[in-house]
Amino acid sequence: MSSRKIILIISAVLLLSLALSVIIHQIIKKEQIPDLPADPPKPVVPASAGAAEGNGSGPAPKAPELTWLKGLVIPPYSGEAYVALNGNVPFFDTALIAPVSYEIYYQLDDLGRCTLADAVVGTDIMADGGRGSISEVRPTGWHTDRYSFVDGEALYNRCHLIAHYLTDEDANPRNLVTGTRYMNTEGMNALENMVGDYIKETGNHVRYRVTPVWTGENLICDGLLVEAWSVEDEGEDICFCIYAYNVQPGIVIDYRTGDNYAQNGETPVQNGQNESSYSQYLTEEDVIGTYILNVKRKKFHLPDCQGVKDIAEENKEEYYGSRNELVEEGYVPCGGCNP
Amino acid sequence: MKLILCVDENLGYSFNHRRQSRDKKMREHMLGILRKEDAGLFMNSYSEASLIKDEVFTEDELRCRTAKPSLAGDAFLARADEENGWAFVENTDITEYLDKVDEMILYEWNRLYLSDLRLPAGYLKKFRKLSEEKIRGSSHDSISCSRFVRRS
Repeated sequence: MSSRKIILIISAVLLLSLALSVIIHQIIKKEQIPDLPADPPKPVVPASAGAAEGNGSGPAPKAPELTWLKGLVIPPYSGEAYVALNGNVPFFDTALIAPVSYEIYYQLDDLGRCTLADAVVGTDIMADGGRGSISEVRPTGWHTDRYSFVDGEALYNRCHLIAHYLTDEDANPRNLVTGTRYMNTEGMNALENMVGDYIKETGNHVRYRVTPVWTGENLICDGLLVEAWSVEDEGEDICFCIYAYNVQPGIVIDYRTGDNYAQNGETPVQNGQNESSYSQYLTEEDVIGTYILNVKRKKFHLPDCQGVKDIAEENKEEYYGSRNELVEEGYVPCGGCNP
Repeated sequence: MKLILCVDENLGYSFNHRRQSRDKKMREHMLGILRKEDAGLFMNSYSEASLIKDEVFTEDELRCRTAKPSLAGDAFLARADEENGWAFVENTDITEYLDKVDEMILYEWNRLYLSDLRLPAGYLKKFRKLSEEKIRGSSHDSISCSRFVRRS
């Protein structure tokens, strides 16, 4: 055998060993770090990428057929503010979501009801300041009844489909429904915190779609279906399909109109109807200004109030808008700065 | 065994087989405690992969500190119990192990999240709080870290 042939054989053996060691290394590495997501699919960027549609600055698109609601079986409320549906997996196709922010608020239906809000939320469209006034929006079924046993007293809130915190939307009628205080705080707030904090921590994107569920021609929705999926990690951290019940424990709601009554017989107080624990805080002439909110204690302050520095950052929110709206939402003015 | 757990305002710690939240500063804080005590950490592959991605632990350091081979399901809890080591739980049901926990580090997000796994109401009454400190997280304004030991 010639020396040239020997060199060729040795080279071939060396190359083969090298290839084998690379393969073995890859196998070992995979075993040591299991559960890592597979290579992400090639993203498809939607036509509306980077844009906000239907938020008042442009025409709102008509909602597509809500096929994911067809045949949907929602168990009756049984004491939990929300329930997982569809195995807690979103109905939308998760394979082709691009990590590019957008937000779409679809047209109201013929009865003036919200139909759908859909977004891919990223840090670039999240709110970086306080929210503005939303009091000029009167969603269908809106009532101002207040009960002493409801947190903040007001039975109904103007409930965002996609939270202000996530997409910086204020008084957009296509994004606000009449929702109970209970649904707003125990259901929606919990999942919005989860999604928002994840995006803040990772800088990743989350596909986020909210569909109000209506029965017949009711003016109050039965609840909100919220689907979410973290894009870059393919649902490793955020993946859910949640239905939040639009109920308020202790209160019976007529969903056709929004009328309501307490099971314990307490008579609701409506704005301006008579004196109540909250109406004493309303001013005859409304004042528009900047206030600092303690969203946990439901107090509002002037920006230079000494009490502001004692508010934990996570409970602090800057607000610009109607003072009386804050009172209607259950906020109480600070006794120190008397805003 | 010893337990490290992150909880929300409802004492929830997991939802849909996933962690409720994450924070890099909280993880660095946890690693600081383990380094100080030269202690190992038992966890499942879901947590392990995330800690490596977060670059809080280097792979080498993690290899030294975690049970090998990676333990599927709740097997890491059994190992932590056998060796009286620290178990970091993010998405595993710990109901069966709650009575075996002698010491606990509880990180509180001070936020409300979705949850389908929660500590039972009154569980913390079985423990005495040894210390508490506040951490400013990377995405959470204030995280409470409390250390508990089971009452004798």
